[in-house]
Order: sequence, then structure tokens, then C-alpha cells
Amino acid sequence: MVLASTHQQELETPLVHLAGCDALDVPPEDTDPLSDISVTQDELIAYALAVRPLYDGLGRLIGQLAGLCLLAQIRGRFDPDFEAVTTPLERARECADMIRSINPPKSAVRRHWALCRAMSIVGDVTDQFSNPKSGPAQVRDQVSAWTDQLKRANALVRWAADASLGLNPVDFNQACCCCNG
Amino acid sequence: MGADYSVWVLEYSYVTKYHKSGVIYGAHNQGYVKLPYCYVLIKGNGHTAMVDVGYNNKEYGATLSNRFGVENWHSPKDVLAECGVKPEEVDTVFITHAHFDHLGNIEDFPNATFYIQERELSKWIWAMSLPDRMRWLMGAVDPADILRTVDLARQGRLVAVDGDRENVLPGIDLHAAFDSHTYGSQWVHVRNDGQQPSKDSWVLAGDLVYVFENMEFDGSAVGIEKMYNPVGLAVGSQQNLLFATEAMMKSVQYEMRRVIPVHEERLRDTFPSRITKNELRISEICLAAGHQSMVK
Repeated sequence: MVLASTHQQELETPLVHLAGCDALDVPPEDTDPLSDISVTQDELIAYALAVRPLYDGLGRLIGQLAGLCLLAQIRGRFDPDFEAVTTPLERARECADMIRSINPPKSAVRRHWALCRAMSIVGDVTDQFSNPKSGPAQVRDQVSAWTDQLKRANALVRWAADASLGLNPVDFNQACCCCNG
Repeated sequence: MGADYSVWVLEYSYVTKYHKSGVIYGAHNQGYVKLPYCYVLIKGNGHTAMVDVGYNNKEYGATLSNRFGVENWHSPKDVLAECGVKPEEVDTVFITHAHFDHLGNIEDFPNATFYIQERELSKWIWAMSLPDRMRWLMGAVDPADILRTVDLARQGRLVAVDGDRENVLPGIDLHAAFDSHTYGSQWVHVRNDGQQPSKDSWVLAGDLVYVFENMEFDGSAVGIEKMYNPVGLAVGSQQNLLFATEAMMKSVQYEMRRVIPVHEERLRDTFPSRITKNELRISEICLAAGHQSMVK
């Protein structure tokens, strides 16, 4: 099942999931009644500080890859040597290693898992960049498959959002409609 | 001869306290203004079109409400119903720029073809490739919007425009304003007499101007009556914003009220309007021959 929905509640609501749905692999919630209080604020803050730039980076990476898919769809070709393609490949490699190296506190294990899974899905897409199809129809088929993968990754990133830790999918600070007043 | 198109500005949400310096470049310490969020409905010549589609409240509503004081959001279904239109009837959407509050609700318009500048897409993608220290250049864009835009392209419902384009719909032109508010902003020119040049036209300005004051700023400080003063936010340049303002004004023979700033609360003073049961304003910019007023 492709996680077309991006709404957190929909991942958390009991559903019948199809085989392969990411929701089936989410680690179970910790049933230890003391687990919440065993995590200190300092641990959570340290986790937030470590993960926030990677969270933002992963969101931007998905946006950038989606944009490359969009240009390929419009133009009917995908140029793997284009600078805008090489940059996200480097970013994906860095981001993957760093996200996996983080050791989350108990209360953040499930969200951290979602980020690792999202990164893995993104990696599957970027791995295929070195072998793009030729011909507009074939390129568009490939773009279609990549886009579906990126939607899965994006759904996981949104599920891992936590405003209290500063993990937001969109940077509203520069929006034309928003201010900090 | 009557006008070809009716145009309404439809408020769908608002911020009651927005820094004036965000609206008028350089207006520091001058307090706050109400900032309505609106999109534009255009009807005529057998078409139902929109300029921008607002944001997706399911995705952003809680954050915008709690953190930025954005209030009273209503869906396109509710807002358009006040003009007797269903979102499914909209066949054309002109996206002035890719900020989430203009592009973020495309899923609510399942039968529309969307027009956006290709540069708006390609430059955002470029901006996202820049290092973190350049993040200022890439705010307010949602990766999910780009994914949804890919879907539009896959469905053949996305037209990426390169520069100006005349008669996208009969008598409706798109004009690029590159490197201004955003990399590939565009404005919409409705020539209601179908003529070129037109003597009865309207400009839907997107965020190239927020309010009338961007076009009639007090110029007494430099010894003139009025001058342009750009909006507070530009990833391009203030110079390009001013030249875009000049181009828009020129297209309506410098009759300022014909350049419609959609964040302008004073539209109510300039055009017939009413408040709906949801406490949102409808401003009627012009009526096509035979169309019924939506504000009386």
C-alpha cells in the first residue's frame, strides 16, 4: 500500500493495511508505564538538536527529488549529470549515515524509525538515478514509480513531525502570509 | 458592450495582526494590519477559473492557527458556494507563485488545468539544493505540494509556462515577473473587452503587491505626491518588484484600482462587497453581461 495520505492520525488509526505498507513495520509502542518518565528532558532536547537539521534536510531532499521528477515529467527526459541531480545524491548519502547514527530516546524511537525508513526509500530512488530510462514515455513511467516512492517517504516524514521539538515539514517563517507577531 | 468576465475576490481566512513592515517594505514599528487571505474567481466565456487556490488546512491549519494567528479558514467548497460554484466546476487555475498558501490546495480542484511559470518550479528546486546557510531562499515551499504538482503533470493537468503568454483563455494573459516576490511569479491580466491594448482590463496581482499602498505610497519625503513602495518579502529584488508594479499599472493605463491586491482589506472600500455567514468577505470586482451579482 502506498501511503498516499500525509495525515498523522491516519497512520495511527487502526486500519487494515495491505502487505508492504510501512505502517505495518512501525515499532510497537513501549508498554512500560515508566518509559515516558525514564526519558529526561535533556535527552529529548539532545535528540531534537541532533535530528532537526536532518529532518529539515530530508524534507528538502524529498522536495528537490520531487522537483526533478516534475521537470523530467514536463521535459520528457532526465539528465543524471545535471548539477541539480548530483547535489541531492551527495546530500542523500550524508543524510542517511547521520540519521542512522542517532540513538533516539525511548519516546522518540518510533518517529526516528520513520525517518530511517523514509531515508531508505529515498535512497532506493536515488540509486536508480545513475541508470535513467531514455525516451519520453519510458522516462515518465520511471518518474511515476519514483514519485510514488517519494510520496511514501514524505508521508513518513510528516508522521515523524513533532512541533514541540521543532520538527515541522514546512518553514513558515518566510511565508508571505506569516509573521512572528 | 458588456464585460466578458466576472471577477470576485474571495476571502478564505485571515490574520488579524500582521506586521505592517511585512506588507510595506521599510514600514518598521508602524504596528499591525489585518491581512485577509484570498483567492480569485473568474467566470465567463464558458470558463470557470481561479487565481491561486489557498492552502491545505488539514496539513497546516494547526500550526498556522497556533503559531501565526491565522483564523477562520474555510474550504473552497464553502467559499465558492457563496458564488454558486463547486470546486469541480473550476476548469483553469493560474498559480501566481508556489508558496504553500497559494499552491497548497490543488487537490480540491480535480478537473482544473493549472498554469505556473516553469522558472518558479526550476528555481525552487535549485534553491533546495543550496546549503543550509542559504535556507532563507527556500522558505514557505512544501515538498508535498511539489509531489502533488508531479501528479498534476502526470495527469496532463499542468502547463509550465515560459514567460508571457497571451489568450490562455480568451482575453486572459499571463505575465511573468521573474526574480521578484519569488523566482517565477506571474500576474494575470483579464482584458474584459477582448481588445489589445484593452480599455477595460483588470490585473490579478498575486503577491507582487499586497495592498493599494504598495502602488500609492506617500512620496512627500522625496517631494512627490505618490510613489511605488514594494512589499516586504522578495527572494528576487525590490527593483524587480517595482518594475513588475510598473508593468501592471501600465497595462491598466495607470488606473490603480484595476490592479487587484488580494491581501488588501480596503477592497471593501473600492468595490461592492458583503460578509458571508462564515464571516468572510466577497468583493465583486466586475460583472460580466448577464451575470448576477454575488454581493447584493
